[in-house]
Amino acid sequence: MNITLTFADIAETVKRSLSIIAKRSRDDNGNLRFEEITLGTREEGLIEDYLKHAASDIAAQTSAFVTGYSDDTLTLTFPSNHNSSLETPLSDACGNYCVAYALYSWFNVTSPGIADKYRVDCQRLMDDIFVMLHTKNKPTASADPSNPTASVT
Amino acid sequence: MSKSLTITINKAAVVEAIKGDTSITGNVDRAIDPNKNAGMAYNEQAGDDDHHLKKIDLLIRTAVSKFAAEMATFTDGSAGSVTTNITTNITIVMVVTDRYMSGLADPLAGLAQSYIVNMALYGWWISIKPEMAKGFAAMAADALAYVNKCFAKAAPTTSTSSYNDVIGTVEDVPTKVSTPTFSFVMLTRKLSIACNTAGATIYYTSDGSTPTTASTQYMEPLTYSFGTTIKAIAVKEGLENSEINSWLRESNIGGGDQGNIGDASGEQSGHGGIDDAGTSTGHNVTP
Repeated sequence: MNITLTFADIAETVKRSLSIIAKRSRDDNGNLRFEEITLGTREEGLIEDYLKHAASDIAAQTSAFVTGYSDDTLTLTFPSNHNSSLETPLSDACGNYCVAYALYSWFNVTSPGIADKYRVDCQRLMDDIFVMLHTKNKPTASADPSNPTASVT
Repeated sequence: MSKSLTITINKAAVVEAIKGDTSITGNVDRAIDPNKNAGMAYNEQAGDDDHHLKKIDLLIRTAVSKFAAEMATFTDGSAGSVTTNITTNITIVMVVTDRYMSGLADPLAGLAQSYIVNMALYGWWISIKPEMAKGFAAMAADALAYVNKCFAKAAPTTSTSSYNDVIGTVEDVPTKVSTPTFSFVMLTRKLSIACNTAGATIYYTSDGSTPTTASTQYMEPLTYSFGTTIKAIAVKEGLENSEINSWLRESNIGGGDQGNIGDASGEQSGHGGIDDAGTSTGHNVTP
């Protein structure tokens, strides 16, 4: 089972999140956070840096399973006895962690008051990633615990 | 007479017992604190990972070898042996006494399987959680204690013989060597000297002198010359020397039987021919 995180896709999610926050979130003075969240080229490059930092965090926590890392992607490979039902939620958790980390990093600079929420999200998501990573399928049970036999001749 | 005892255990069942136990333990640890114990539970569960399976295989082989070594005590005498083979099955073959009770073979096999599983689990946990390993070592020892009970012998077979009355005899212990006796063969003119005391040594003279231990030792029949007086004495360490006996045959005119043996109790005359004048006198001779 493989999980591949593509940083470009995650970056789009981050931008979308920031756009929603810009339209809905208000600061303590009641003003929309539009100015704080407008992204130029430089800001977009910063977002990408944040995502790579997040990917590094994930790689550190899942080092036994990392089989590929590049500027664009992070790939995790699991042994055959890993619970394959967790592939999707695990992939989503990794992506969400990257998003939360990027938002935390961004707001830590622009709006520290709301950054802590994303820090807490990061911690929770990393815990979830770790638990799901270290979950094996139940061992195979093809043999019944049959009684051993004995003969005397 | 010996018997051959063969125990057969399904290896896959043993492997899965080991994996099942470690899986349960890992899940218990995970349930206590999922975030904290996830990594530990993952690594202590013997799943289908290749390196885990190899370790389990080694642990099983070690446990089987230990069991075979423990069984050496119960093998039968000089022909006793314990052989093991591990393929699809774990096979243990023992040479046991003819009095082994076959009815105990099945429980013995079950206890052998229990011993092997618990000893393998001991090997698994000793490097991960030593406190857990102790429990499996104790269970293996418990199984072994009951294995020992499965080697009770059947009662010995009824004897076909019965005790007879004990017969004892009493004989005087000789304190003195028996007097040498003579036997003469006319045809060969050979004179033999003998003594009834086993282990005695005979010395003789042919010049009429009194024989002592310094005289010629008798080794083989003598070629006898008529008219020669042969005197003999027999000795043995720890006993008194025998009486001296002598032999004299003056002639064998007319042929006849061999001369009779002289003994210390009295004279004997040689006879057998018409003019057989051979005489033999046995009497104590004062040295």
